[in-house]
Amino acid sequence: MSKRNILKIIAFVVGLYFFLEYILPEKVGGEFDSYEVGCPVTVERSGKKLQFYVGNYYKGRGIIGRMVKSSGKWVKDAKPCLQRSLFLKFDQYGLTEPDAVSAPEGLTLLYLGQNEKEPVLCYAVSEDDGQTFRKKGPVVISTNEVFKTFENAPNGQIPDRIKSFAADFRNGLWEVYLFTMTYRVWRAEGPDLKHLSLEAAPIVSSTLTEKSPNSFDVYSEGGQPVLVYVMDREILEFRRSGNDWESKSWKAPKGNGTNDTVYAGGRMDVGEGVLYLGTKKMQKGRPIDSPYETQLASVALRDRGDGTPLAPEMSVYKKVGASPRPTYLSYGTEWAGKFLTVVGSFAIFIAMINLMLFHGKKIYQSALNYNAPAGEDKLPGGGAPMRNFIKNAGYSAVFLIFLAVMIVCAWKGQTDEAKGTVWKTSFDFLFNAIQLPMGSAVFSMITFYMISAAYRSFKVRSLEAGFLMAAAIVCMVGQMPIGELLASLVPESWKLLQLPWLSGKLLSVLNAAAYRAVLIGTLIGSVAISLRIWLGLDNSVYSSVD
Amino acid sequence: MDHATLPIIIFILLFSGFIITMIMLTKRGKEVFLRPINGLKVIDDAIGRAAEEDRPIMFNLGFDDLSVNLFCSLAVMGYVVRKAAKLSMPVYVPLAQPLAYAMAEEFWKDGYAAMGKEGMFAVEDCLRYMSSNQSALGAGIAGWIKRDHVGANFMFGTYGFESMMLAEAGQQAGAFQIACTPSFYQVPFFMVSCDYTVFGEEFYAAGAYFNRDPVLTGSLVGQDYSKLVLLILIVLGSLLLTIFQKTDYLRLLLQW
Amino acid sequence: MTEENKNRSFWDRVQFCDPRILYALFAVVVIVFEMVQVKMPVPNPVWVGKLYDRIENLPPDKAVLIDCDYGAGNRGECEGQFKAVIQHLFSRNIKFMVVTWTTNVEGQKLGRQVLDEVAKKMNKVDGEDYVMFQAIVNAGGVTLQSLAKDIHGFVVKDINGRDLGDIPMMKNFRTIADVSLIYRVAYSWGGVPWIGFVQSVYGTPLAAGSAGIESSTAYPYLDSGQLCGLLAGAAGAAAYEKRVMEAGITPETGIGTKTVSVQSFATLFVVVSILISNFAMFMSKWQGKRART
Repeated sequence: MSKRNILKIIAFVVGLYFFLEYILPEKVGGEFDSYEVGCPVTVERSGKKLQFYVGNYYKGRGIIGRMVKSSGKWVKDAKPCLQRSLFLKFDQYGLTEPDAVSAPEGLTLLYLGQNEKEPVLCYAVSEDDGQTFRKKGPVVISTNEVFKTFENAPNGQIPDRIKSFAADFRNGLWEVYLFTMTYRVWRAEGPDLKHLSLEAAPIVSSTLTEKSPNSFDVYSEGGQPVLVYVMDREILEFRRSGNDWESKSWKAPKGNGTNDTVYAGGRMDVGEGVLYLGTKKMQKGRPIDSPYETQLASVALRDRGDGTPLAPEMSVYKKVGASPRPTYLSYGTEWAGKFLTVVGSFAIFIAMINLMLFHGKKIYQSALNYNAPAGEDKLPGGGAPMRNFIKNAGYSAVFLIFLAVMIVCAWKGQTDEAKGTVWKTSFDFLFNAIQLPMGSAVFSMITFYMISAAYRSFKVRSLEAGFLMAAAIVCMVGQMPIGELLASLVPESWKLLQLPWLSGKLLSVLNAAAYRAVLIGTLIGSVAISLRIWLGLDNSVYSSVD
Repeated sequence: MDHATLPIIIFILLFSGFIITMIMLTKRGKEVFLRPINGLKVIDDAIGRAAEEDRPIMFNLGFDDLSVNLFCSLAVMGYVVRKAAKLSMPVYVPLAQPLAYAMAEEFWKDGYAAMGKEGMFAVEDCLRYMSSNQSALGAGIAGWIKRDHVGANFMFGTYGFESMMLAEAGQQAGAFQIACTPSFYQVPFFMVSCDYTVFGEEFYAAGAYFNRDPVLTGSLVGQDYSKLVLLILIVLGSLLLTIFQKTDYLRLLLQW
Repeated sequence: MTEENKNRSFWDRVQFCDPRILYALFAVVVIVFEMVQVKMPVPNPVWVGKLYDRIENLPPDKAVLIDCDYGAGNRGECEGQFKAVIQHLFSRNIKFMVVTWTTNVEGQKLGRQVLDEVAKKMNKVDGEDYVMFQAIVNAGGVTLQSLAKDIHGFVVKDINGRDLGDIPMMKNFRTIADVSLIYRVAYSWGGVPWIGFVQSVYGTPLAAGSAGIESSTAYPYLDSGQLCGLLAGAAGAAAYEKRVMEAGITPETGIGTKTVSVQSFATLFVVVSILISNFAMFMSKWQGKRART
């Protein structure tokens, strides 16, 4: 097999890898929770204690994973149980705030699906205790002026939006409590999740807390709902007392327990009390007190029922610094990105060597020529004194000297300790007093060149050239204050003659249309050539290889 | 985009299908008409004119790093170098990117070797890395053009504001100039200073234009079919949106 | 006068005059109007107003991400755009992060100079009100994606060498979800990677400030909603400076307003010279026709 064919095969395989990584939806597996974990919820089903949580591979892209309690430990499933849909609009951007309910038709997981507009309350059902779920779409709550689901919302306008929710299935009926952005709590009830009726009035119509809770839950106690609001480490339980709500609160401890955020992830009788779930935030492998961290861990916090928390137990621990990898193929993409960066950095040495060779050769030849007898000159005007040396190699000598000075000053003058030293001062001087003004000067040359080019070429030799010139003058003058000055002389009824308006229309309508047309052609052209190179159909790339 | 959506996948497959189908058809002998592109037709004339006046040729690869645009420019550079080598003319290639330097050197040496003129000109004299800073690049190339009194100046690639400097410097040196760029922003500058300007997708067609390889010509036709599909969608979409402004169903379809 | 020129008519000599005469005249015009600042009405483009209103309504709990990518050559146009916007952000106590690239050292240096100057005047503290990141290697869309997904993990340190995790302001801003606006200041607006990899994926609004000559390519993105504001050249900078001054944030306008006045007369010079050249062409043709008849 020839070298060329081998290169073509390698190029095809590498291209195919990246193409698949781009085109495959993120359902291949991988570390879906490598970035963050949170929102844990518990449920008991078929004698098993299950915990579902949201894993993110980067912020805002939540996927739901499952853990099962086995021999006193929580064991995480290798793959997620519920992922976002790329092709359905409800949860295109991720899943968050799950709630698990054991119902007759199966284990039901309700969640907030994120999309480009508002979060949508959706649900999925599992027949295998939560290992896999089948999505059923959004929960449908009856039309109501205050609250609508995604399907009924006119143009996405929902006056009051869901922030959180809690669901339960009791006595053959579904109960869903919705906590909204205005801190109200609504109750909806129905025989199934596609036919829920919203009560006429919210059960909580005014704010019970100053701040919005981190999480919200509801459980039943003696046929009455108990609202659970969690504010960081404070757990508030609200019970109805006449028309009001009475609260009871207790605080989760700091330290090894919940550091700052407890999550109302459902209550589970664990023998010694009730299981609350929480999240602990860590930084660089050790727990800290500050609320602003980089990684999360999920812990379970047990409560005796009197508000005294017991020792926590860890359920999910995330390794700090794990980079997000949505699919198995992303490992390769990451590696390739780093490889290219390194190669690109080394390539600068090739350029430097070329520069030094070129200028060094000039100096060397001029030096050789310096005392060369007449007739043996290698460079024009050679065999003469300093004047010719400067003429032939002066720039090269200056270039190499400044290059060396700049490298040394940058190397020594850019550290913190170099402040005030000659290296830092020299580097700043070379940059601020030489490079920046030279850059401005060279850039300004363009204007001069433009004038001579316009003067020479902008001749009205045909009708089209006339239109071109008129449009150019309108655009140039219209964007300047002088255009505004002229526009102020034109009455509003003659707006068409106002240069700023006219130039705006020319640029945003005519120019934009032409630019889009050229852009479409250019981009399709680049797709075609990329395809040819990838499939090995274009030999021009390999012309130097046999 | 972090991942493809369904419409993207459909378009990728559709356009690839058009391109591959046309390549297969042209390989089997289907005749394809390529509209003549004036700017590319006169490359031979430009080289010949420079040879007559005994003035060197310059080929600018633009500001591209390792990318598809660079490969297109290198393909044309290879052709120009071969033609120049046949006439024993030097081709100067100023470069802005270190990675591009490595590739350009291979193509340049290969061009001279193919004509049996290997070693005729020193590589470091003809291929020079100028700078990755646009101001320095423009000033350096402008100086080179004027000092060496370049006879033909080819500018193939992506350019920034240095395009005006190169083109006008070449104009003032009296060089025959051909510019070919996908950079829409620089086209006006090239138009006023160059003898011929080729832009947009014609830049990508340049490679096919010279050797008329069935693969390359077939892919050009495939591209045209892709553009036709987009054109139909644009017209249809505009019409439907204008007529059915208030119907949610069609609005959703169009927003899909 | 050369032999060749002696045989040419006056109008031919005007048509094909030595470009150095034009350069000299142009230089005189620019110098004169730079010294004699003529007060001109500042343009009021719609898209400048939209950006201003957007910044006025930005939520205080999110940050703005500024891509500072201009150079010494376009200082006249882009510095005014950068300075006016950061003054506005400071006045509204909206925190911002400045991104710079290894391919443009000038952008970092110039941006830092302006930032330090404005921060000092408005009593803002580095690390609490703004952060400038260390220069990032730009590998196109992949870089922007990585930046959007995890700012701390990708950038790591700020320009002073501090860990982002140790900077008080940065504890609240970790991903693109914490950014309410992206503003790119550069010679060429070049925001297509920002649109493709960030704006269209996460929906973060994107605005641009670019040189006037490059701004024409940004217009298609304005109408489609991908760009939410545009400061085009010195005129855009002057318009924004005027709004900032009228809002009482600064006592005077800045470099944009000074530049736009000179630019006006320079543009007028170009227009007049083109008209003269065309007039000379027509006169030369007419004279030629008359000579033949």
